[in-house]
Amino acid sequence: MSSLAAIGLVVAVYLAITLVIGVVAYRRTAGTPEDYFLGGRAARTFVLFMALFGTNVTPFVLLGIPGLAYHQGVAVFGLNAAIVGLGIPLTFYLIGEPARRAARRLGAITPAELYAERLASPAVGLALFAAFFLYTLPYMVTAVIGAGLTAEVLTDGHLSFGAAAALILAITIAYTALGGMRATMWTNVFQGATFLGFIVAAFFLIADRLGGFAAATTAVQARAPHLLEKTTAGAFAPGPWASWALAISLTVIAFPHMLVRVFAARDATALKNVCRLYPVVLVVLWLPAVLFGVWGAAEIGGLQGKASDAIFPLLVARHLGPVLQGMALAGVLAAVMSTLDAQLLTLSSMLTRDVLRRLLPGLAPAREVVAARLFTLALSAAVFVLVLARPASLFDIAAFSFSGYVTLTPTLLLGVRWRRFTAAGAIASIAAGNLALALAFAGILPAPFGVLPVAWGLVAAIAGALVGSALSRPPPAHVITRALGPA
Amino acid sequence: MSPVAHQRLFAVLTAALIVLHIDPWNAGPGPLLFGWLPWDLAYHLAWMAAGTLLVLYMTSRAIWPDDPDDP
Repeated sequence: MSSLAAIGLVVAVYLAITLVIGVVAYRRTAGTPEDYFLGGRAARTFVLFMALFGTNVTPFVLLGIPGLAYHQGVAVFGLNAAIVGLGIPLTFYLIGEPARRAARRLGAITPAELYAERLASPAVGLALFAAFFLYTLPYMVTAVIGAGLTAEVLTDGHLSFGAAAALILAITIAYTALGGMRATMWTNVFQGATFLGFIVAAFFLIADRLGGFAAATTAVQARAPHLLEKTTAGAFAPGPWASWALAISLTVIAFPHMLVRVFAARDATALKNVCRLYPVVLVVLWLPAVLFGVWGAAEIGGLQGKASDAIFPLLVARHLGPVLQGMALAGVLAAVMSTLDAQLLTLSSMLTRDVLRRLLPGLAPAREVVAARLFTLALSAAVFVLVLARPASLFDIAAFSFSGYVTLTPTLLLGVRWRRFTAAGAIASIAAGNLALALAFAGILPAPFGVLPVAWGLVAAIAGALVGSALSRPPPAHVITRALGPA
Repeated sequence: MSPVAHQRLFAVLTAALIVLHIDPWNAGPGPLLFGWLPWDLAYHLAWMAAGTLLVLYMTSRAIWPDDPDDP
């Protein structure tokens, strides 16, 4: 069997298993919006963890981080991985848990729906919807670009970037549109196991091919010693370091596709267990990702700019056999699909619940599910067009989206933790945060101590929330109690 | 300890760990642990171990009580 056939066979088996899981989930899904969009709010620890982790991990980690470590070295681990091991569980506790409780009390399905009802303001729901949409669409593009890149490298160009992107979208649409949340969570368990299993196996196998951990490090010492130490320049200076830590710690809970999965938790115990598992599994994934980039710089020099996003598949192609190359491609596809399905489902649920249902208040629940399936198709088409344009490196696109999500965290936090918070405060926070972010990205606002634009966005969003709330009245007490319970 | 005391202790420990994350003192060349693990990487792995302990504390009932409305 040729190398290409072996790779194709492994990937075909992966895709077939994914589709079968999707079909089984479809048969177990009732036609109600709550079951279709949230899987009946019944996810226990294991499924919830794999769904959240699978959704969280994208080619940004599997390809973008090795690509970044290729240029910037081991300090990329401290910059990107360490802080989220604490930041993500912390935001699950501070925002996720009270939001989950409020969503259950209100019967809310989307984050925008939750905050619109909590603050008695459809405008808040629309503002959140617009922001979520603006930042999620480019983030979806990073996932599909990652799949296209890997397929192109590992099949030596036989499967083109565009064809791989189209294939991945088609399969993801199929099981997401059919089976909704239950299908995406169940497939995420298989997908998470696929990419985690492969990355751990590849870590030890590639290290072995390089002569062991010590020999691999010695090669880096000889050819690119600067990659084994941290500098205080650029992204590693204290200002950018602290502001990037802020961005990636706070951003994950503001991904609507993550928050919706938190809503799907069966109980607080499931969410607590997810928090306990998160930092441990992050190390298992991120340590190899960073070292692949560093080892790759010594092994395959000369990649410029975003070309280094391909260093992980290049290492796999050079050191592992065709079956493992097929598993590498399946692993990247798994990471892509486990995020893409959640994003497609969440954006289609928001288009249905937060926009269409407001325009057509009498829409029958079964029609909502049909509309969501059609929105999934339309969103996929939009993503495909953007993927073909491939506007920037994975890291640059992700940095834009992450910064945008952070401006929403004051609203998400105060909406479930501060009874005095108001609709005007939420809208002022979202507007001020995004305006400041845009001005900072455009270079109009200064960067004292080298802080990133996200710091301006967060400060303005907090100020907007506090000033807006101080100048307006909160909703009636019974509205607040209905969402947050008795004081 | 009362729940409020636990919350305060947790806040202080979290703030301390966040400060320790911003570590310009680790810049520049450092030793390789076990012959292959760069010092900066080892520092942040140790930091994550401390973070994991803090998360275990956060998820205890003292900080994060169960939800009486859960099934």
